[in-house]
Amino acid sequence: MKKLVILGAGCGGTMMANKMRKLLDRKEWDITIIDRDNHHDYQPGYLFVPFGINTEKEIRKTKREFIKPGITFVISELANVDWEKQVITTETAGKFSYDILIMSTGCETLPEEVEGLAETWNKTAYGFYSYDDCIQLKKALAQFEGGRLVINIAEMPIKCPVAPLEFAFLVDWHLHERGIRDKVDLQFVTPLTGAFTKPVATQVLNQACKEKNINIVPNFAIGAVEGDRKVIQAFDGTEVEYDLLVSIPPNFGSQVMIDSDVADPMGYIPVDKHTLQPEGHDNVWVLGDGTNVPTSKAGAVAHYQADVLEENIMAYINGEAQHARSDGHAL
Amino acid sequence: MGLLKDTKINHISKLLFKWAYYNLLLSGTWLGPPSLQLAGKRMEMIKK
Repeated sequence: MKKLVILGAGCGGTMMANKMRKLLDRKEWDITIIDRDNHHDYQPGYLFVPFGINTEKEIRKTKREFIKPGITFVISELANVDWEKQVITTETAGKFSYDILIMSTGCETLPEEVEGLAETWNKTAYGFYSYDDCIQLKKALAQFEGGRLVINIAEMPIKCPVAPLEFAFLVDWHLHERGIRDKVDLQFVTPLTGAFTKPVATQVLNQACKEKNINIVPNFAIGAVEGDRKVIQAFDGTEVEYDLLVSIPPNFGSQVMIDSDVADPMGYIPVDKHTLQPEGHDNVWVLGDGTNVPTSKAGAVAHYQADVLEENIMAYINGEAQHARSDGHAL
Repeated sequence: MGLLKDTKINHISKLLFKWAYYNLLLSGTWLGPPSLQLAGKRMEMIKK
């Protein structure tokens, strides 16, 4: 029996498991998908929970319910990935050898990567990039009655680059609905030169921010947060005061991948940006937020990457040339 | 919703996308031709 192992049962991993189960003969191929927990969060919903548009219950389901029959689902933290020996070691479920490996281990926000931010987390600084964080932010927003609300992107790349701006527009709407918009100074503090990463979109979105009275503070490279003073500081000494800070901390890939020596220092797995394969490992594919590919870290990108992987993996199994190429397309 | 008047369709689409995510995307449903992801792209960049 041949073995396909998939690391990560989020959006990318689940899609690949289900696609490959349809294509691979059950008498020839075992498919195993490994993840550290059984929570499948609808991540776009993180943005809506703070405003009550989605409830917590609406965005959290189990991973198992989306994994088709004929796929073994293992819940365990990973301990090591060994591409040379073709073995995955888990914390609590033993070792798994593989003939083909698909990696979709994602990325996460790390407040501790900004000096002082972890100490102020869920006190005066909040986030919306995880299930727990968006719930805490909902509580903080409900208690916020006015003052300066600062939205700060620590650095790029981040998951869903447009999400911070969506949050800014949603909070503008939310504050209007509560009748306190005129009591709030809304600031969008970013390391970018404007509202977004691309020049044409930035021009349009800068104007949209202006019309909504959202003040953009560009080119702000955050160095530290002083929670006692409620101030964020840039490396150049510039300071911005806040009453409520909504932070998008630095994004990092998996620490296990760093420890396994298969990722860069940020935890992202280096791959060919078109084939999504690490150099020298023709039975390994990587998709989703965990790669170092210069494209948006978004489920839509993973979806199109999955189409490429599906076609090329089947070609690899059948000994044929692999023609599918990813271009990083999101929509 | 008044403030969202200009983008109401976009807003509602976002809410409806949740259904598509759970029922189509995660199941690995094929949503379009292989060329869809290359639509509008500069192919000479891809071929390099």
